[in-house]
Amino acid sequence: MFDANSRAARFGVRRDMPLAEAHSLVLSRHRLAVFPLEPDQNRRALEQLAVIAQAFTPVVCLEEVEHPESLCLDLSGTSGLWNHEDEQLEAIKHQFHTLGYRTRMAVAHSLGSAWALAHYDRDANDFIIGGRNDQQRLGRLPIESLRIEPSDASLLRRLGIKAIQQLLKLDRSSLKRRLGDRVGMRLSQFLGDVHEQLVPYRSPERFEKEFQCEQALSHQPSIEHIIRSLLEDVLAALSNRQLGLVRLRIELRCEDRRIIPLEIDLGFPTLDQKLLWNLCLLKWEQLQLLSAVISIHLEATQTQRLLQRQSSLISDERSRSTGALQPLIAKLSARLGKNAVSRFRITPDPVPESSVQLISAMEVGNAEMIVKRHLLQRPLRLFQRAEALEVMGLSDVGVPRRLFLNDQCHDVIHAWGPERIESAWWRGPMQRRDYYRVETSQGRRWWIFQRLSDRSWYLQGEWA
Amino acid sequence: MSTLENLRQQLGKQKPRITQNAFSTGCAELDRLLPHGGLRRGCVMEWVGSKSLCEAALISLLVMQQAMADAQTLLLIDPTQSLYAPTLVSMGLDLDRVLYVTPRSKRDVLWACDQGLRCPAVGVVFCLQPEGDATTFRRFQIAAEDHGTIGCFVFDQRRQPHRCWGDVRLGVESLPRGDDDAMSLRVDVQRSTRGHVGDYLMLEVTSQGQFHVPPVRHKKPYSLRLVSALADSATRFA
Repeated sequence: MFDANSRAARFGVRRDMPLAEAHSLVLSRHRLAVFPLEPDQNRRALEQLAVIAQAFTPVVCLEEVEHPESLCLDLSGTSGLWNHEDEQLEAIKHQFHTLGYRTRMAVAHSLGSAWALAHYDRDANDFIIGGRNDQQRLGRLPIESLRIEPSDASLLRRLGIKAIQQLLKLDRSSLKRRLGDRVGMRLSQFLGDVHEQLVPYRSPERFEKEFQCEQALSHQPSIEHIIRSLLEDVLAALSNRQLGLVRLRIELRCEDRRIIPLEIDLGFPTLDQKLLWNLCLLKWEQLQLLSAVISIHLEATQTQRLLQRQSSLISDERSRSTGALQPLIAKLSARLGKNAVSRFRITPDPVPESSVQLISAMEVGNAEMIVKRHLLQRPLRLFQRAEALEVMGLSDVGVPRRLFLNDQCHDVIHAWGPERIESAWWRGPMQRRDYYRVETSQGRRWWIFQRLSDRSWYLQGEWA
Repeated sequence: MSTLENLRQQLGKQKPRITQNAFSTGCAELDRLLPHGGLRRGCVMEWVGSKSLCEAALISLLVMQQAMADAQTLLLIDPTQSLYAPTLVSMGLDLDRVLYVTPRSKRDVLWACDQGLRCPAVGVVFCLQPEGDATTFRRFQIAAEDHGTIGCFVFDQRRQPHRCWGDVRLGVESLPRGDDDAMSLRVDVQRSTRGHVGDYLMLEVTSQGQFHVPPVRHKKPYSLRLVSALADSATRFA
């Protein structure tokens, strides 16, 4: 468990608990709703909050850990804008409450002590540290609140040191000798003896353009003209930053309040206006405009630094080929859909229909786990759904002598097999099949199998 | 203008030269059936399977593997979504250089073919059962010639009465063999821009993905006593 809300906590579910244990704690008439942890999404949400918090101070940063969970605001120099720090704290709190967040905040003379209070002091919601009693409160905090490594905290606890005030009584030099610099440094940061540099979060620059129509537009060439000019503007802005466009989103707001989105995903950075406009047209052709458009918004939702290549007098075949394939993939994907343009990836699954994955060509994927067999061991075409066969007469080795497919009779003159294929038990319902390669009197070569669970026969592939 | 700029401009005016020389399909006997004595960049080939698409697809893919130049891509357009990747590997195709396209509509199939034939990164456009009119196939022919791409279109026997827009149309028929190590196929020249129509070839595809032409078995020569029989006075002609 990464975290639990208050309702789950009432059942005893808490952080760092195994999921199975959490499920066992929740009573049978209740259901524990579990959601997968998405650190990237959490980070993006926190970044959005950081942008909102910039209304109160210019220096807002995310805590410097791999998966940040807290915002750090440097309030120094801003107190003059408020009557008291209480008022400032209340305004920040109110801002987050309106967005649906509950906050735990602490204002202190150092980042370390503010972080410790916000995370480990459960007596009150928000703090402003200043008085003598507050120093005692800080001292009572557990040693984990110093942001030290769990291994260091565990060692200190084994030595009987549980609170910060106990640690403060120890000789710093002996602490350094036994635990290294880390604990001493965190303690100094907590006390404010060592200043922690806060690197303000800067939201990435947005490349977007909008056009508000004076009168609602339904004339398609006019709309196309506007989109084209907006695209030119965005590309010019990107060009100034040496960035290429990877993903583009166009939103058409209509009179009936509907928003029609057009998404273009290239998979590589480019500033090629002709290519982008062709992709826009491909999407545009598939669109049915039922209502007039009142505004058009165009945004580069993903950008990437342009690849710099040294120009050569005569471009070689290989670089020309590689460069030309990406626009083709983008074009095909724009019209046919991402899933219709793919690369093969062979998986180790023995079941034929699960042994190949199709990876979108936009993603970089290589063929893996290739087991090279003889050409005639596996069919050239594998049907997505195996076709049921009626059979008549079985040979000594258990192969049908006659097959009926779509009311047509096929005599089996040669057969090779069986090859038993079983699915892995941990991947769902078990499948056991005996496969045969058969040749019919008409010269057709098929790959048929018998399902061992009900002895039924199926045609799954063909060579000819 | 600098000399370098000048040279660049002059080079830019020249169209990329497309090699017109024919190269082998991997089977000398099959080369002889083709209009240019082998495969040629910018050509369009039609393969027609007599019983199913598959027999024609098998042999054409083996031939097209020879046409893949360095770094070029094979565009596989398969509206049936049935080509099986492990078999493509067995044929010797490098899956990193295969782009698999599965359009849903007939119109999209033709559009994807056209885009592929016009792309310099694509060496071969291989398509199963494209259904287009004469104008569409003529456009494919021009696109292939202009961009040096090879178009390889595979059909079932319903294609036979239609006009051929390719350089050659080859019919493929699999024959019963009774051997697990090879497949026997008969390849017929149905249409060709340069003669050979009506010629055929008996071919074997081995389990290693190679072509083998079996020797033609003639009957053993023997002597016939003809003159003495005619000279025999006892022989009478009615």
